[in-house]
Amino acid sequence: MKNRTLVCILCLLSFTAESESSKEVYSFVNDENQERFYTLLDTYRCPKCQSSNLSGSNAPIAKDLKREIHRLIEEGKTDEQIEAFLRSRYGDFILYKPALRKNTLILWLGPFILLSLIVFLVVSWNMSSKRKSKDLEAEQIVKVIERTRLKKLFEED
Amino acid sequence: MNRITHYLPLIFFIFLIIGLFTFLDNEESDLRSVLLDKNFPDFSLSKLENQEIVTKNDLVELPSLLNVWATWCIACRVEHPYLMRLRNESTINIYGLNYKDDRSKAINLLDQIGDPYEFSIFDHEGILAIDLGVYGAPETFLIDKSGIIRVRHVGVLTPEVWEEKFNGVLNDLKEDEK
Repeated sequence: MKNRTLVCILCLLSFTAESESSKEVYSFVNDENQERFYTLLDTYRCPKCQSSNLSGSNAPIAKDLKREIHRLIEEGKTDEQIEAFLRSRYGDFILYKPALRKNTLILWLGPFILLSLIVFLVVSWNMSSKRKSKDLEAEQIVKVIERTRLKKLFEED
Repeated sequence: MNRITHYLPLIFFIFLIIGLFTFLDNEESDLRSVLLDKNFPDFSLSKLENQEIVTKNDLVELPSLLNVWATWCIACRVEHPYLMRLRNESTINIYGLNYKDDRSKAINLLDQIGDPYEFSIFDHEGILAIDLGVYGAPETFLIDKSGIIRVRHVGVLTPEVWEEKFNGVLNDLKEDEK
């Protein structure tokens, strides 16, 4: 038992070590810039890997975009200006979380709809099977009553 | 009633798959179509072949193709013979964008396999590439004589892609000139 927890802890530690080594070193004029930088890296998608954001990617284009975002922040550009910069070059797809629009509505609501449907099906199946077993029970009771009635009838004869 | 609820998850799953496939396609084209009908971005970079600085004004042979390539790009070798063919057989000129590459390796490669480009722009840091929304190699752009991007293709340029995406537009542009 002790060995397993030790192995688990070691595995978790090794994961954190890996993420530290893949970070480039960026220097900033102030702490606010640094915070904004790392937030923005989470906000934008790596155009090459497509299913990860910039902070989770080491692709050459991701490194270049990180460099550009760093440069823009240090130049004093606002978050809106940086977003405009990226979207005018890479389109809406550069946003890691898809913009909430008519055609992305199904993307956002889909999981909830699916979940509600599954819950509904499970609950209704459950209720119908409970009903079935209750019906069966009722049937059994009726059968027993009828049998005892018949018995009595025969015995009286 | 029981039978319907029995098959409902399967039916919903099938609709979900169909829905996802149709919407996934839309995302792909979003990524590629941002620069269409926009001006080719300004730039000031060195040529690959020497230290001469080139800008957008040096892309004079228009309409033309801009092909993004690099020595580390394997797929670029696949399209290279076709680029050579295009240069020789058709009237279109091709400019190269050497993307995040080693200068001497790139020059050597062109010496080895042939140079289909009027010249190549040496974009070591990938800054022109970012302005073009490029995220890898190979990619090919069609620029019309006003310097406007008309077509963008991500991936290997094959005869089929040429027919489908480029040829029609090119012919339209030539018609407009007459």
